[in-house]
Formats: sequence, structure tokens, C-alpha cells
Amino acid sequence: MEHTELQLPENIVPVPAGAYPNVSHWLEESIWGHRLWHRQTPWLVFLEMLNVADGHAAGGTPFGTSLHFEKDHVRSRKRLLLRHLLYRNAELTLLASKQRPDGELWEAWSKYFAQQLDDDAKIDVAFLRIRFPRFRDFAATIKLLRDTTVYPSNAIGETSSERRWTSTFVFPFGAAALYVDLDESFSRDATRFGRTGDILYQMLARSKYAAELKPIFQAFLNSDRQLNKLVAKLEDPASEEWNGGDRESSYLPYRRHAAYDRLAEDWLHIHRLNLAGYDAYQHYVNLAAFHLILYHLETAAAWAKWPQVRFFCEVLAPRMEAVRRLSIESFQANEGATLQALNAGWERILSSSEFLQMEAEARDLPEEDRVAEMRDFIHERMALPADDYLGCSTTSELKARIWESLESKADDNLGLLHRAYGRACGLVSRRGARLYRYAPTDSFLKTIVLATVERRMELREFLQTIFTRYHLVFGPNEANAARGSADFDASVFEKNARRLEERLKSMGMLNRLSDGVAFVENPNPSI
Amino acid sequence: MYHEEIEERAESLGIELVTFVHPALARIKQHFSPVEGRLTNLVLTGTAGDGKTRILYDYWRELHGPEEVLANRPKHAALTATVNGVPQQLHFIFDLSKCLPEKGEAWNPDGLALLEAWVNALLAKSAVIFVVAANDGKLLQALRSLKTTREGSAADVVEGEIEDMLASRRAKSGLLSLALLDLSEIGSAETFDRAYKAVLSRPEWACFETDGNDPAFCVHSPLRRNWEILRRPQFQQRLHTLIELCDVNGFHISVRDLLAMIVNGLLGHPKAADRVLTLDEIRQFATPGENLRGSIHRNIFGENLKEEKRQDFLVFSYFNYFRVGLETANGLDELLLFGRELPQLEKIYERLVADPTGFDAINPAFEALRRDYLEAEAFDDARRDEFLAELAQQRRRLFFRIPENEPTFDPWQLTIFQYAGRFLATILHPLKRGELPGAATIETLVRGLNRVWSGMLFDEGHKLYLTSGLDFTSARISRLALHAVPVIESLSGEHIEIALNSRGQPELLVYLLSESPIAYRLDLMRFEFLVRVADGALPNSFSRECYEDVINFKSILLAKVQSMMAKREVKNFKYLSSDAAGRPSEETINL
Repeated sequence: MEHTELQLPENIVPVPAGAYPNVSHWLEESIWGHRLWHRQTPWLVFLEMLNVADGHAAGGTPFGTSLHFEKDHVRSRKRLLLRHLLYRNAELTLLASKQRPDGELWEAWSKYFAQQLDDDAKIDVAFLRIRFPRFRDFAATIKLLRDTTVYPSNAIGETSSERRWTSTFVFPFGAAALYVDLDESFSRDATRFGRTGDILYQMLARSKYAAELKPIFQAFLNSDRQLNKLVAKLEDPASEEWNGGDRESSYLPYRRHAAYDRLAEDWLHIHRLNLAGYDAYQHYVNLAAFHLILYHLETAAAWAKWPQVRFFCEVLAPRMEAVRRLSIESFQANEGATLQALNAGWERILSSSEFLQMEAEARDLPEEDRVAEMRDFIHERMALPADDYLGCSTTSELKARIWESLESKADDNLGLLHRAYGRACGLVSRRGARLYRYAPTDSFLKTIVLATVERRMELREFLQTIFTRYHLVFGPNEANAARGSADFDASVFEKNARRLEERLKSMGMLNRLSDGVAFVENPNPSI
Repeated sequence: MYHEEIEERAESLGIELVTFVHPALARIKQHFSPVEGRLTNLVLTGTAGDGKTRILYDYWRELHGPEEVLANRPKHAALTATVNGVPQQLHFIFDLSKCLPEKGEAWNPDGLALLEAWVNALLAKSAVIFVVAANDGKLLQALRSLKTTREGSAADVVEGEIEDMLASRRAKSGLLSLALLDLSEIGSAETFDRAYKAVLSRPEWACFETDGNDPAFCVHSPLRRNWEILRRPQFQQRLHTLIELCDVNGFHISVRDLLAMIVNGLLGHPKAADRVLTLDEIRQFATPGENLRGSIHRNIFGENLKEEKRQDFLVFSYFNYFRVGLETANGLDELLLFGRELPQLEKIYERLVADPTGFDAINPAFEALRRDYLEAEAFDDARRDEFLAELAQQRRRLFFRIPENEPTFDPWQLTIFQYAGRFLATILHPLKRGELPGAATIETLVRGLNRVWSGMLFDEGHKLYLTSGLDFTSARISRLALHAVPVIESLSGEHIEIALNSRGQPELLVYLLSESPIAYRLDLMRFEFLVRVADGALPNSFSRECYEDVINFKSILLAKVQSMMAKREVKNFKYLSSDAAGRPSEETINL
């Protein structure tokens, strides 16, 4: 899809004014949706997405049956007993290590656990003794599952001490392991599940490949998998209740977007590799974060009318070279895209015929009334908070202050997204240098190879492919194409590509023949 | 320098060419041997300097092709020869890359016609036999560009198949009438032995006897000194082993590089104008002080050359990868530093370090530094650096002097591969003799794999546990026991062994679920890693790369296991814990 098609009215999903009463300054939402949340780590995005998928499936619209153009509600589960067993059960290990008869251990544990259970979660746990003939099996199950916890750690700005047990998630083995984020009083909370998971879900649902993706979603929620069964063993009947409350679905503005299709394609590529166990999930997660970056940046570029998007990538070089400089520059430029797009959106409102008409009609009114007229006009489109901007005495002051608020809203969230998601998926790093830039990690490279190379691809073609597909610039040809002219020494990109070759080789993903031919190879080709 | 030019140069200087039988010929002969009446289209690929064109010249002459044609250094030439008593049309492409258009330029009609004729021959649509030398990149590039220039051309099929043959290192094809041989597949160690013999058996070396009065050939001559060392069996043996290990690591050294390394070993000198001695320079540096600067122990590693020049020869970067002399062990350094004085080391010092012939004498500069180091109080940083650099040189020298079966000292401790000696003795050399490595060796590797894969310090070498984390197969601690493969063959045929692959490299073969085995190439790095872990080192303390690599092997095995078990209903769940003796014990939870 071309840049310009993106913003055509027929590609926009209309959203009724005030659809989300808690949101004010509805401008970035109209550009990227409600919402991309920078503090949500990729794993939390993925977990939220699974919960959304589960909720929709239970609500009668499983994945692939709706394009989600209408706002609706998604239900969720709390699974309080499971969470208590996993995360409020510290003395279990100690008890299990005691050489006592089984009956005695169960007694002692039941007493201990009764105190651990919060008032809101008084549940009879006698059924566990029937399901686990030996106490040590029970204890081992808990320990093994707890070891798979997906910590919301490395959440941006969060330290381990801020972790709360109600925001701790066991690995999503299947539907039985899914539950929502809660605060300490067991109410639904939005800090970890900040809606980006729903955005991800809708992107996939609107992609060209929604039908092909269905089996993936079925597998996500599959309750027959061995480990899902193991989790289910710890659950009481109440855990099946949809007691987590309903939440309105999120808003994704575009009916179609190239980023949706590419994301879906990549997930399908990973799926087809039939990786062992849950190994594919790590790649789904990395790709989700990366494609959210692409969605965010490509959308911004369309609004800001950039001719192209580029990520100059440095394969860790021993010193500052042109590659690093370009990489830093392109990172900084891309980080600035949010504000440029917002500005374009803001200017679009201010230069719209309706706005000009309103201004013309109000021309003869006193300044005070003109401010009020303008405020009302903008409020209708952007939902301004009730008490804000009342003190503005001129229309230009009003415009300046609203723009200030838009800017500061972006500074607090969306402006940080590129960096946060980039680091989380391994595209962005500060390794070996002071400034952030595109310096992909091995894990990122591996995901990209698995997603792009079915079996084998010549290195040159690989570089070309990831350039056209993801805007990633590694080699000299791509650097020339990206820069239009070679105003730098092309040999630095040759060296960069050679370093990439070395890295891929050491990771077992490159087969070099004699004399400069190398094949990038998928280390886990589908079997 | 190209082969064509070498022939000319030799002729103008009136010198016989250095010649030996290319080890590749034996392999080529299985597919292509005109004298025996065996013909097929032949493509020889390989690294520059592997001798592709040279071999084609030899075939041309074997088929009685006219010498005048070669004299004009043709890019390609047709030849009608008698094979099996009948005339046979052949076409030689001596260097495919020279037949392609320059970058950015269009094909000329002749070039296009040549390539199409070749493609037709490959598809058995013509009776002409093509004999082609090409490098891999140009080969694919040629076919691709033909494909795009001539739409609907048969180059499409040919390109896909040749790409697959190259990548999977296949010599024969079901689709094409072709033998594709990559000269880089030939073990460099064997080529080295031949090149070494060809150089050292030259009659010209008699100069040291007949012209001993000429400073260039006297006992102080750097060339003489280096030649004396080079021809020692011990030195040749160690050099051979080093190259053998390069082969194991997948570092192919071309014929040209091997010869360059030998010549540089003999003639290298940092003070020579071109860093390689001319006859006059040999005379000039034929003094005890100067000759050591150009010592063969340094030259073998390309130390005399300028950085850019050294980079032109892969052989030097491969050799330097071993970091010979930059690594060491206390015992070896003790021997070098105190061996002369300490009575308990005296005998061994005499045997390993001292050199009664005088040709491989210890550098007097080192002696002075050593004495200063041991005695002098004023040993400033500059002197210290000088001392350490010279010490490293002495270690290199020692590396080439310690015999393979030396009981006290292991030469490989002077390299980054501390276990290379064990690798040679327990795996590579037995395999090359046609013997299977002992069970103890496999068990050590299995113990290492079990530790890396499970993340637990198990002492288990009889069974290979395919473990997984509950979440990821690559989890640091992987307790889920999905399958176990015994080292010794079970009733169902599962077992583990070590064998050589077609390139002469050892591989660990896991026979899983009566499928064809899954191979894991045992290069030095992987061997070193697994043995260190088996001996108690922590898996992530060695190298992240190696760790990931070993884990990926597990993922491949697990994917196989999983695809075979997918249909079965899972009724229980097995996990591993460590029993009191450190062996894995399996626990079961029923679902």
C-alpha cells in the first residue's frame, strides 16, 4: 500500500466522538490508534493479545471472524487460585523438602496456604490432594511452572522491587494459563496490559492472511497440550469464570496497512518451521515488537510525508565509523517522526475547510468568543479536558497551548516507543557506544533470518530482501540505494556486511563457499 | 598470479616449475578421466589459487590439445580429441569469470552463445563435453544473468540445481549431466605434504653443500637456518597437524597459499625491502644477529609481512587464529625461564629447548632479557614488553619442538585449544586410521552435552538426554525429559557415534528414532567447549557463541522427536532432577 492510500477516508475506521471517555487530546490516537503504550514490554503485548484472543473466542467471535471495525467488549479471567498457588506460596518448597509422611505435608501446607489466600479468593483446595497423589509432585509442578514466569521485568523504568505478584504471569502454555493484570485489590489494571496487545490482535485480524493465521490462534489457546493440562491440574472450576471484567476493545485506525500483512506473513513463516515446543513464541514476540515499530514509523512517515523509512544498522564495529554515525543519525531522525506526524495531524485540522469556515464565521466576534468557538471546534474533534485552556485570551495562545499539551503527551509515551520497543526486540542498542542506534543483537538477527529465509538464500539477496521488506540497511548496495548518492566511503558498508557475515556464520546461519559466495541458511528449516 | 603467467615466468627464468600431483585428481578421476574413456561435463570450483586452471591445462595436454592454443592464454577453446577410439568434441573454459561481461556491461553475442551451448550440454541436449573452471560466485552469477538476459532460457533449471549442489556440497546431479567438484573440499593437509615434498626435494638445495662459501648459503644465512628447521621431521609434523586442524575447522587453505606460506617461511625477513629476501639481502643479513629476525617460527605466521599483505593470504589468519605462543601454561613457561638452571628440568631442557646443531639456537636477545628479568631490578615497562614479546617467540619455537608423544609437556597448551592434543589422539587420528573413537571419548562429549542442555551438573555419559524447559527448548535450566538416546546401540537402533564426513571432518552422529542420523560437526571449538564443560567448567563461562550453537543442535533433535511424537496422546510428564550421586533421575507426573 502506498503512503498516500493510507490516509484516504475509505481506509479509516470511523470512531465516534467520545468513544473513549478517559482519553483527551485525541490526536495521536487518530493517527496510530488507542493505543501504543511504550511501557508495555513485547512479552506483555503478546500476553495481552492472547487474552484478547481468548476473550473474543469465548464471546463468539474467534480470531478470523471479525475485522473489528466496530467497538465491542472483550471479557477476561482472573484465575485467582492459580496465581495464589504460583506466587503466594513461597513456603511450599521448604515443606516439600521435609522428610515427613505425605498426609502430614498436605495438612501443614493447607494450613499455611489458607492464610496466604486473600479474602476475595477463599477457595477450597482439597481437590488438589486428589489430583496429585504425592505431595512432591504437587510441589514440583508448582516449582516448574513458576520457573517459566514471564516477568514484566525490563519494563521501561521499572525495577524488580516494583513488581507485584498480581502482575506476574506464568508462561502462556495454553488457555488455562491466561489471565489479566490486576492491582493488589484484584481490580483490573491497565499499566501492564496497556491495550497494545489488542492493537496487535486487530492488526493480525485485518491482515490479508487472517484465514491462514487461524491455526496459529487455535494452537495458542489449545487446551490439549501437555503443559496446558499440567496448569489446568491446578485450577478449580471457578477459574473458568469470565470474572476479570469486560473491557472495551481498542481502536486501530486503518482498515488496511502494509505493516499488518508483513507481520502476518512473518508469523506464518515462523509457524511453518514447526519449531520444537514453544520456541516459536520468542520469535512471535520479537516480530510483534519489530512490526509495531514498523507500523508506528511507517504511519508517522506517511503523515509527515517522508519519502522513505530507513534503519542504518551497525554490526558492532571496533570504532566509530560512518556506519555508526549514520546509524545514530537515522535513529534520531526516526525518533523524531512521532512529533512530525503529530504536527502534520495538527496542521491538517487547522487548515481544514471546516476550521477555516469556523474562523471566518467568528471573525467579527470579540476575541474571547473567538477563543471559545475555536475551543469548541477542537474539542469536538480531539476531546479536550473540560477545565483546560479556559484561561487563554487569544486564539494563537490557545493553539500554542494545545500544541504544547499534544507535545507533552507524546513526550510521555509515544515519543518513547521507538526506543523502548527497539531495545526490547534487539534492534536498538547502545552497546559499545554512548548513543542509541540500530545495532541489532544476535537474537534479533536470528528472528529475522527465521522469518525471511525459508531454507537458504544468497547473502546478497538476503541483504536486498531485508532492505526492501524492513528498511534495514547493512550492505553497500543498500546504503547507496538508501542515500541516493554515495557521499561516504562504500567500503565501510562492505566491512559492515562482512561483519554481519561473520556474525551469522558464528551463529550457524551462514554457509560460505569459496570465493565470496555465502548462503544465509535457516538453522531450523521446516521438517 | 595466474597459472598461465607462472608457466611463462618459469620459462623465461629457466627454472623448472614446482610440480606435484594435485590430490583432487584422484577424486576427479572417479567422474572424469579421458584416458580411461570416462567423460562427463566437468566443473571445477574452488578458492582462487586452488589450481583449477592448472588442472584444465593438464587435461588439455593429456588430450593432445595443441600447445600453441595455450600459449595465447585463451579464455576458452574448443578441442576435438579421440576418446575411446572415436572423435569427441570438447570445450574448455579455462576461467569462466573472464568470459563474463564486466559489471554493468551487456553480454556480447559470443559470450552468450558460449554459455548457452554449455547449458545445453549440461542438460544433455548436445554431444559436446564442457570442461570448466569457475569460482562459485561467478558460476551462479553467470547463470543468473543468462537467465535474465534470455527469458525462457533453460538456465533457470541449471541455476537452481547448481546452487543446491554447491550449498549441499553435492558432486553429482539427477537433473544435469555434470560432475561438480569443489577443490576447496580437498584436505589442505594432504596438499601441504605434497607441496612440502616438492619444494624440499628440489636439487637446487645442494647449494648449501656446493656453495657454502657464498654468505647466502653459509651457516649464518637466514635461508640456510630456516631450511634446516623446515626439513626436520618434527617441524614438518607439527605444521602438518596445524593444517589438519584448519581442515577440521573448515579453514581451507589454497595451494597458492600453502606455497606462499612455505616460501615466506624460508625467505621472510622484516628488514627486507619487500619483506621477503632477495639473494643480495640474504647475504646482507647472514649474521647471527640479523638472521634470527627472519626466523621461520615467525615467518610461518606472516609476522614479517605488512598487515595489508598478510591479509592477502588467508593461511596466516588461519594460523594466527590458534594464537600460538600467546597462550601458555605455567609448566611450559617455567621450562623456558628456569629450565637451564633448575636441576630437575635440566634434562628435559636439553632435549626440548636447547639445540646442539646451532641452526635452531635460542635467540641471544631472549637470553639477555631472561637474565635481566630474573636478576635485574631496573626492568622498566619497555623492557618488560620486549621481554614478553620475545617470550612469546620462544613459546612458538617450543611449540614446533615438542614431539606429539612427549609425556610431560603438551604443545597444544601453547594455543587457545588446550585440548587439541586430546582431539587428535582420541578422535581425528583414530578416524583417519579407520578406527572408531573409544566409548570413553563419546561419553565425555555426551556428559558435556547433557550439562549444557539441561543446565544441571549431571554426571551422565551413557545416555544423551533431550531436555527442554517447560517454555523454551533453549531454557538455561531444562528439566523436561523428552527423550534419551543411549551411546551404545539399543534394540531400536538408537545410538551415538563419531565418524568422518565426506570432507574428512569428524562428526558426532546421533541415530534418533530409527531415522538417518543427525550430524553435529566436531570442530576444535565445539570439542574444546564440550570437554571443558564435561570436566567441570560452567557452560556459559566459555563462549556465548558456542553455547548457542550447542543449544541449537538440541533444538534440531527435539524438533525431530516432537514431529514423531505429535500424534501420540500425552498422559504424563517426565522431569529430571539430580540424585545424590549427581546422576539424573526421572520423575513422572501423571496428567
